[in-house]
Amino acid sequence: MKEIIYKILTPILLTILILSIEAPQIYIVNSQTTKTASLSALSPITCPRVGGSLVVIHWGDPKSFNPDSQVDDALFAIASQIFNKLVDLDVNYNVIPELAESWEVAPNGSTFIFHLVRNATWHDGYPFTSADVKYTLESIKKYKGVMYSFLRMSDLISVDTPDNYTVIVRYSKPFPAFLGFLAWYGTFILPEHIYNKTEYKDWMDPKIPALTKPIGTGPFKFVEYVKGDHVTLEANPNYFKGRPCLDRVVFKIVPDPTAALQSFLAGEGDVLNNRPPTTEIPRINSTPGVIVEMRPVPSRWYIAFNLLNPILADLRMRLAIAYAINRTELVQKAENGYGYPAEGMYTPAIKWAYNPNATLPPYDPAKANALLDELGYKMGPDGYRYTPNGTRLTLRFTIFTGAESEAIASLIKDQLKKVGIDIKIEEYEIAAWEDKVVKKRDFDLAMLDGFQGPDPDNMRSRFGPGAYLNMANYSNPEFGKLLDEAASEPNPEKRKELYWKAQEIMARDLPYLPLVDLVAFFIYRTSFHGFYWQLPGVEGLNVMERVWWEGGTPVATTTPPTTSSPISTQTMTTSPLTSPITQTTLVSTSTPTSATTVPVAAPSYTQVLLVAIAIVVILVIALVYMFVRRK
Amino acid sequence: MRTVNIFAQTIKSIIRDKYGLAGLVIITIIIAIGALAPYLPLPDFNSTEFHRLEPPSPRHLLGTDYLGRDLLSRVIWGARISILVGFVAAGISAIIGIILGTLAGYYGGLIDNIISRIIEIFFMIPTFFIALTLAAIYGSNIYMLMLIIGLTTWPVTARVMRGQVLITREFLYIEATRAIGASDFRIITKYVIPASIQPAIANTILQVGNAIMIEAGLSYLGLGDPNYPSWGRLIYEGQPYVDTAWWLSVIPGLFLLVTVLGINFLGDAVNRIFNPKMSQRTSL
Amino acid sequence: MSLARYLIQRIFQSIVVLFAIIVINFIIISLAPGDPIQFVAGDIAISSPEFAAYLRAKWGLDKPLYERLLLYIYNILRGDLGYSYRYSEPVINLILERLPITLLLTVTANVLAFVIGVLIGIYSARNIGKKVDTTLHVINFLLWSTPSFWLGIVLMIIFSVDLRILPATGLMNVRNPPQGMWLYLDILYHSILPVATLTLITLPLYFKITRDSMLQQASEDYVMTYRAIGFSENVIYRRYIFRNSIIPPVTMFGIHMGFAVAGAALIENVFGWPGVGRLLLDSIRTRDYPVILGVYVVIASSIIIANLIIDIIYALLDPRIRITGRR
Repeated sequence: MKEIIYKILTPILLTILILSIEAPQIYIVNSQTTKTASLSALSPITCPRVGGSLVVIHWGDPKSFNPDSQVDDALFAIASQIFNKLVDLDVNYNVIPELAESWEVAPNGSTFIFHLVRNATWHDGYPFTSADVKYTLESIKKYKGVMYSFLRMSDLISVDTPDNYTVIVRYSKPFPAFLGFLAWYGTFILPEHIYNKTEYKDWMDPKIPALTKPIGTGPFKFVEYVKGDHVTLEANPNYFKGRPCLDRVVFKIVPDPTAALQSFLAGEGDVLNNRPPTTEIPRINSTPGVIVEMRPVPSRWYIAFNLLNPILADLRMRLAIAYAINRTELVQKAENGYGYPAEGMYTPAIKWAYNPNATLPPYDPAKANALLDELGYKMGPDGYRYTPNGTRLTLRFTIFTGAESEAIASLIKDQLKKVGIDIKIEEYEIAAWEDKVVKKRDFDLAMLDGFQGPDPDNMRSRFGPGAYLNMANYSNPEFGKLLDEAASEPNPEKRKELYWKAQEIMARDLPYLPLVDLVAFFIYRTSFHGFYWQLPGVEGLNVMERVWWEGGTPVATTTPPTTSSPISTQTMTTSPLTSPITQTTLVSTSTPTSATTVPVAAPSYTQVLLVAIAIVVILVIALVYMFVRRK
Repeated sequence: MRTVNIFAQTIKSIIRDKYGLAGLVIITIIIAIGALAPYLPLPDFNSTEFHRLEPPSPRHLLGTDYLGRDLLSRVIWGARISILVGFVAAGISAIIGIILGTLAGYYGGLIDNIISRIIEIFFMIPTFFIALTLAAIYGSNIYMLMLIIGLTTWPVTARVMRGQVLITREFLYIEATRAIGASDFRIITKYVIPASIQPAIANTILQVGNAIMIEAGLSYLGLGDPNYPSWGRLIYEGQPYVDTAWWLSVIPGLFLLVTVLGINFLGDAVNRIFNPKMSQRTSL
Repeated sequence: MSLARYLIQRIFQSIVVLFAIIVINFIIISLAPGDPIQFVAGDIAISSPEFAAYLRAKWGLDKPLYERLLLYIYNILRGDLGYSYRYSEPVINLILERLPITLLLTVTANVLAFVIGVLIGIYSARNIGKKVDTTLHVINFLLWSTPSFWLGIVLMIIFSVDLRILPATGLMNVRNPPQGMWLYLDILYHSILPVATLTLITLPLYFKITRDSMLQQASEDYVMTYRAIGFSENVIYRRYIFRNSIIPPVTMFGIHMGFAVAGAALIENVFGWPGVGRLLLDSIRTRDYPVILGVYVVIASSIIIANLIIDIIYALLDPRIRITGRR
């Protein structure tokens, strides 16, 4: 019996040993990235080297593969490879062309004409035309897509397609923020020939094959999605800008931030999409072959005061809290110094709209104490203040789960304790938090973070009167009027003035207290180049089409794009409306590729399970046999 | 008076048993640590004034966490919280379990049927998930957690109690008392419960350990109360720093381990005391 | 004949219990605060009332509770567990996809824990009082008192971070996914740490039951009789004690198998293992009601089936049941 066991165990152990020996990683330190300053967004892709796989450690599962129908942050990075938008945002939040190679805005500011690229094709070979854009925009309106409000779909009059490569979008009012929002989120162009069938109820009908096997025009094609583990994409050789340099992009899904960091440092990933604990940043940066870059982002943490609470309705109370909070300490301790203490009422990352004069109260605990005394909250012997009728001054601080929010909340709890305010932290899962704070408005102080770009019109949805996210119940009619005016003001200078004025009002009223302005981290291995943050003005957010690997095969000369028609340089004009382009013939494209995706043998887990069970059962039988034999 | 006698006897038996003694000592130490927490010269457990992520040193015996709070202080105050949660939750579980178990065992019939079905249903789903769902939905206040854990763990106690009551019910003196005309309530409280409660008590002791583990698990998933440094919460807070400041997660976990170990020692010893067949430790 | 009656009664009982579980779960979850629509509509402030109403109509959330309940039960009987809000896929597909991944962990760990636990338990019981027994008993207590997630973290620190001989997280190597047989071996390689953790956590259960059971058997009268007659220790042990005391551990094994579907949720969380436990945790977070309910139904079903199988086996083996139709 012993021999049986040895015969089975030895090969298993040997195989496991062999598998655990990994190929040694070669780290290249401090390689130079070449800046391609003369490149523009629509320039053909040039690859110093071709080949290789890029593994991105990603933080979550996509909800579906329709990126326009719902908020799906986990899908966004993945969708940016599979799909294109009409226009895109670069790392500085400027609008750059993508499927729209040029556009014009009518002087009335409410009509937009887009000229589309002519050589783009879908991954299944169909040509990309204006019909796809029309379907996408109309579906956002009809099926209430994510961007319905931001794109003011209720004011949309029509989307016309005079020919296959022109789209005219008409609104009933001027809409200066249109391009910014169109370039941002939830506006990926979907294939009309797949989605627009009468048997589908809407664009999320489970019968639509593209919901699980998406077809886009983007640089990478969908290969497979193993839920909870990874999404694999491979290069699209017929991409309209030319074949991307990488062979494959894989998103490895690791929701837990610690595990994600471990995975990345262990060499299992090349880019880290999960935001690591900021205390780890110096260590990550000093790892050979890994670089951490930082840029300010238009996201910030801020506190909302419930203005319907009588204690907080008094401006002096809010000022006292503002004076008592040391925002610099928040940045130092909760963000390990990576971030900026908030100074103004809007994010400084959107420079033109930021009013540096609408400042917040500085850190001054003496003033805080003075105000609290003035309000009649006497300091008790236990270090906390009490109301005149003897109850302790306690305020609820409602946050959602997450290491950062917990850290900031704990620090604020300690800071406010020093001036005698007792803070009770209430922590909820984000869905429950939204229900309690945003929907039911059942809170005293709440804290949240959020992206406030790409256009200051975002303020209207967060702080405007009647806005869904205006949980403070802030309603200042002058403030609301300024925001409404600015939303339809076509003159950029005037817009700026209006927004600056709005910030001054907000700074005076202090319904919200900004805390920390965030930075985004770009963590990657130096053996890869061509990331979007290295190519401002050229590459859209998250897009990996120009990324190349040092270990790839070198290319002698730059390869010309495989498809025909010349690509024009981008123009962004506000020139008078030119006459509609007379009809052109449909450019004949190359024959559609036969198969949509290359089927990769998906691992059949039942087989894996069977193998495992077989091994174990054999062990059990052997042991029992051994036992029973000894009679 | 009889109960006091039994209690004293039990304690003596526990002390005589090796594991029971060890368990009793461990638990006493931990409870003492928790009880003495306010009187020890410790920095405020929420105060963030220290240097962050410091390794253990003479100034901070267990180092500091990611916000600059002294870990030793947090662990000791955490003892109070974890133990409190454990006892209260187990207490709630015990009260509900004993009452329902007795009723089911004593009356039999329909009442027994209903209660037994309910117990079965609770056994059909791992209690941890029920607690998790409830905590995620209704919030992670420390008192809510105690309630939730108590409400999800009573079936075990009830089952044990019911089993014992079924046996006790057949004793003659119960019949005699009923013949005299004592009310059901009197019979149950004066005779049935005291006679059948021993296994339930042993079980409740183990439930304290179970409750502490469940709270730790919930806190580890982020559903703990952020105002209090329970051990599970400390492990959760320390997990992102596992490779640079491993002590943040490992040390609270050790405390948890030791505490639950002590409880298990004690509970197992009590079990053996009440069930004499096990205690015949003759050679095989 | 009474055997058949007993079995039918048990099966009927099981169905009733399953039905009750489904109803109770449905009611509890539906009454919870936190509209799933909030989550789907999400952080960007676009939740216009029209959008919310549209989604509500789409998922039938505007119908009253009892109507939804009846609809749900009707669907279950047809094998349809509904659609996930989050993934836009049938719930049953989501679960079936992840089931083998979880079972790989839980079944393997259960079997290993059973084998090792029983063996060590027997050995310990035979050598009672000696140092070996005490040591093993104490180690057993230690393992029993260890939180599963903490043990997972510690093992990950030791083997992945410090020694770097085992992978930290994930199902397989995604950079260069191996093909064919190597793929399965890669998955097995990634499963070593989670399986080890789960085995260590489950071990104490079997050890304790085996040891206690053997001790109890050893103190029975028949053992004394046999000794008096003159049978050797080994014979008594193998032929009688072992056979009698193996029943409780085997019962526990069967019951534990029933819990195999969700038994490793915390460990799956630590190691990033995409199984059913992770699915459940994620869907609780995102208020994905259909998935939560679906997973609970599957868990409950597997436990009920496992219990039923055990009862049937007992019924076949235990003559008391066969004859009288009652325990």
